[in-house]
Amino acid sequence: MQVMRRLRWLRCWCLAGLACGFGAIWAAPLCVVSSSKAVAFQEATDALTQELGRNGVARQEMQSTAATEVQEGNPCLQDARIIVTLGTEALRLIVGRNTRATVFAGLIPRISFEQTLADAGKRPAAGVSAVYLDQPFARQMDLLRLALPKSRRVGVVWGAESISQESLLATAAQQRGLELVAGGVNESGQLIHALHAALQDTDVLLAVADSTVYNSTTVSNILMTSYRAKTPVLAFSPAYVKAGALLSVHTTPAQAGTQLAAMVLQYVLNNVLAPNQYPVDFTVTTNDYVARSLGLSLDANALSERLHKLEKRP
Amino acid sequence: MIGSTIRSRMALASVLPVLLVVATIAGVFWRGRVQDLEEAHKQRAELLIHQLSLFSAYGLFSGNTASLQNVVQEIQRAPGVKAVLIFDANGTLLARSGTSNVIRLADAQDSAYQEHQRAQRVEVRSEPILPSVLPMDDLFNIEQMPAPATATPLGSAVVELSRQDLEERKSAALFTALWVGVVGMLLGALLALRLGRWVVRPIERVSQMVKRVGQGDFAIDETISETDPLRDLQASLNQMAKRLAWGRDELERQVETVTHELRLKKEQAEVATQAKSRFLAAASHDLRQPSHALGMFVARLGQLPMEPQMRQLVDNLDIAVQAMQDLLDGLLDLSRLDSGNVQVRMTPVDVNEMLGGIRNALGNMAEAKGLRLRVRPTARWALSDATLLNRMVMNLVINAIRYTERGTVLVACRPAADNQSVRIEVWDSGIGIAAEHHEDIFKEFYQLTGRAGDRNFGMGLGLNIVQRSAALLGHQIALQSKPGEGTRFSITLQAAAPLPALAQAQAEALPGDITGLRVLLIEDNDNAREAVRGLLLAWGCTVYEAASLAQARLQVEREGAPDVILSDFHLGAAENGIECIAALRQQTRHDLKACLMSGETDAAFLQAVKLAELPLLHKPVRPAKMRNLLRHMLP
Repeated sequence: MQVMRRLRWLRCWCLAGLACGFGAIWAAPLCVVSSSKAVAFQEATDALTQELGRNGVARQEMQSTAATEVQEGNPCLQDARIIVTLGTEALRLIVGRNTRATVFAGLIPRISFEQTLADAGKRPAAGVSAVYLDQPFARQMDLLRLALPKSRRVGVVWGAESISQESLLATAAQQRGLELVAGGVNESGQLIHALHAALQDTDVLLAVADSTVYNSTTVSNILMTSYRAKTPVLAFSPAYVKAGALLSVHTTPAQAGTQLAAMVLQYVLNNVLAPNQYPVDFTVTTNDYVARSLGLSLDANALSERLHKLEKRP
Repeated sequence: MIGSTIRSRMALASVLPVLLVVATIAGVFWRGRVQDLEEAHKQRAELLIHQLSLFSAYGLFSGNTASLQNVVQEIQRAPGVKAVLIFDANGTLLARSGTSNVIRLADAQDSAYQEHQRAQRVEVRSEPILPSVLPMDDLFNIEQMPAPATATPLGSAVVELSRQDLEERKSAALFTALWVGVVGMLLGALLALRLGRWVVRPIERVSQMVKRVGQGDFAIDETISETDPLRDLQASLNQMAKRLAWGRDELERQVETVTHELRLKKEQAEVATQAKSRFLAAASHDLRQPSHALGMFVARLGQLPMEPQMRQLVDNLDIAVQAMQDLLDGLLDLSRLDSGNVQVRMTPVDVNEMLGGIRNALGNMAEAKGLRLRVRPTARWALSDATLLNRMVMNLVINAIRYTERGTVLVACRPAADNQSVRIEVWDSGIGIAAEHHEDIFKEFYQLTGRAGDRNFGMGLGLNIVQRSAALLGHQIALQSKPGEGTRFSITLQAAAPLPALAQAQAEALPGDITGLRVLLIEDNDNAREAVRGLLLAWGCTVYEAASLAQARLQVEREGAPDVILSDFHLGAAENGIECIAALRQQTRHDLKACLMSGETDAAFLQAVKLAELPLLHKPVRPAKMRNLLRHMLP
C-alpha cells in the first residue's frame, strides 16, 4: 500500500516532468536481465514493465532478456543506461561486464547481493541499488509476536552465509523482548547438532535464508525434527510453509517488480539512486494443517493486515 | 518295403514337428518362468533395500540408532531376509539384525564375498542411503538447489536375502516344464502317429493296388471307403485296372486270331511250297531223262560228218537243247538251294582261270549277239566254292549278254578298298535297270516288264540263284544301274593266297585225253544209256553197258574192273546207283572210281550221295562236264 501511494506520487511528478521537457531522459533504454526464464522472474518483469508503462515509459524503450541468453554485443545491454537485474546470476553477469549503466537488483537475498559485489571486487560505475528478497528481521519478529504472542525464546540456526546477520536479528529480537537461542553449522559440524541446539527449550524456530542450512535435501529433516520437538517454524518463503513450516512472510515477484519500478522512476526523475532496501510490500502465508497439529489457529490475511498496520505506525 | 518307408517317413514328418514344438514351448515356458522368478526376486530385493534406505534416512540424519534398530528388525521380519545392516557415512555399523559375516561395509561390497554368498544361495545387496529430497521452488532455492545425484549419502544399507526359495521355485518350474514337455511330447507323438496312419493307410492301399497291377493282377479292389481321402485316385486305379484287363484280354484274343490266321497261311504256304517242290522235282526228273538223252544224241550227232546245211540244222538243234538244259539246270540249282543240301567247299579259286572258262563258254553266245565279251586278266585268287562261284558269275554274264543289244560285256576282278577282299564285276552296256527294280530282279521268276516269255531272256531264275548262292557263301552282291546307262553287278568275296605252283602244275598236267578209258556205264533207261554210250565211244572210251547190278557184275566178271563206273541212281524199283557201286567195289575189292548220274533233287537222295562221297552229274548231263569229270578220273 505504501508502495502504491509512493508510485502515485511519482507518477504525478513524472507526468509533470515530461510536460516540462524531461522526456529526453528516456532516450536511454532500460534493459531487464533475469537469471533464467523461470515464472517468478517473468512475473517480476511483467510487473516492472507494466508499472513503468503506466508511468509514461514507452514499451520500445524497455527490453528484457535472460542471463543464459546474453552474448557479447547484446544491443539490449550495450545501449541501456538502466539495467534491472532479477536474481543473483543476473547481477553477477552484469557486474562482471563493467557496465556503464545504473543497475537495480531485485529478487536477490541480501546475503547473495553483498556476496556478489564482494566477489566481483567492484561496483558498477554508475551505481547499484537493490531491493532484497528477504524480509527485514523486524518484520519477522513483529509477525512472530502477532502470530505466536506467547513465544519468548526464538531458535535460529546460522550457516556460513547467514552468520553475518546475527547481530541484526539479535537487535530486532531484543527490541521486542525475545530471546535468541542459536545453533551454528560450520563446515565440519553436523546440522542435527545445530538443530538440536536451536530447538533446545525454544518456542519457535526462525528459518533464516542460508542455502548451507536450508535446502531441498535438509528441509524435510529440519521440519521433521522441529515437528518432533513440537516447535513451529517461521520460514522465509511460502515453499517452506507448503513443506511443513507454520507460517512465513515474504514478498511476491510482482510486489518486488513494482517496487523496482518505483526506484527506477525515482532515479530517472531525481537522478538520485535510492539506497538498498528491504521489500516494502509483503504477504503472510500459513499452513493450516501444521497449525492444527500444533493446536494453533492462524489467519494469514488477518496477520498480514495487522502486520501492515503495525509497520504504518510511526 | 515301400509301405514301411512311407510309414516311417510319415511318422518322422508328423512326430518331429510336434516334438520340436512341444520342446520349444516347454523351453520357452521354463525360461520365461525362471526370468519372472528372477525378476520378482530382484524387485523384492530392491524394494526391501529401498524401504530400508527410506525408513533409515531420518534415523541416520538424527543419529537415532534405536530408531535404526527398529527399522532393521522390521525389515528382518520379511520372508527370506537373512540379515539387515545399516552403516553411517563413515562406514560405522549402526544397526544390524540376523546372521551375517559382514562386519564392515567394504565386506558387503566385496564381489568375492558376494559370489561366495551367492554360492551359498544368499544374495547380498547394498545401497547408499540418500537424504530425502524435497523440491523447493522458491526464489531462495531456485538458483542454489543442489542436484540430487550429488547429495552426500547419509550412510549405507545392506540386506542379505536368501535365494533358497527362489532356487526351489526355479527347480519346481523346471520340473513342471519337463513334466508338461514329456506329457505333451507323448500325447503329441501319439496323436501325430495316429494322424499319420490315417494318411498312410490309403497310400499303402493304393500302393499295393498299383503293385498288383504291375504284377499283372487286374483284380479290382471293390472296398473303397466313402471317407477314404484317396477315393478318387483308387476309383481311377480300379477303372485303369479294368481297362488294362479288358485291353489285355482283347489283345490276347487278337493275337490268337492273328496267330491262327498266320498258322493257316503258313500251312498253306508250306503246302504250296511242297507242291512246287514236288512239281519241280517231278518235272525236272521227268524231263531230265529225255533231255539228257537228247543232249547226248545231239552231241553225238554233231561229231558226225555232214553237209553244211545239215550242220547248220544240227547247230540250231544244239542251241535249243542247250537252252532247255540251262533251264533245267536252273530249276535243279533252285531245287538244291531250296533243299539246303548244297555242300559248300571253300577253297582258293583262281579267278583268272574261272573267268577264262566263262569266256570260253559264253564267247560264242556273245558273239552270236554281236557283242564283245571281254575278260580282263587278273592274278588274284579268291576264297569260295569254285562250282557255286562259277555258276554265279556265269549267270551274271549270261544275264548281261541277254540284256545287252550292242556294245561290250566286261568281266573283271579288282581288289576291294580294304585289300582283304576282291570284287568280281560284270559290266554291260545294256538297257539298264530302274532303281525301283533293283530288289525285285533278285526274286525267282521275276523278269523286267515286257520281257516275260521272251525266249532269249530266260525264266528269271539266274539272279535269284546268284543271290541265294551269295548268301550261302557269305559273299556280297552289289548292283549299280540306271536305265539306258548299262549295269554293273559285283560280287565281293574274301581274297586268298594263290596255291603253290606245284599243285597248279599238277592240275595243269592232267591229261585232257580220255581215249582208252574203260567205263562201266550202268543205266536202266535204254535211250539214255545209248546216248551216253555213243558219246563215250566218240571220245574214244571203251564202254561196258549194264542196265542193272546183275548185268554190271557180269560185265566186271567178264571184262575185269573198269577204270570208272558211271551209274544212274535210279536202277529200276529195287536198285540204286549207290548200292550198285558199293557192291561192285566189294566184288572187285578195289576202290573203283565212280560217278553217279541223276535228275533227282530230293534232299534224302542228295544226303545219301554226300555220305557215299560220290561225285554227282545232274541230268541232263552236259557232255563237256562229263568229259571233264572223266578226265579227272583218269588212273
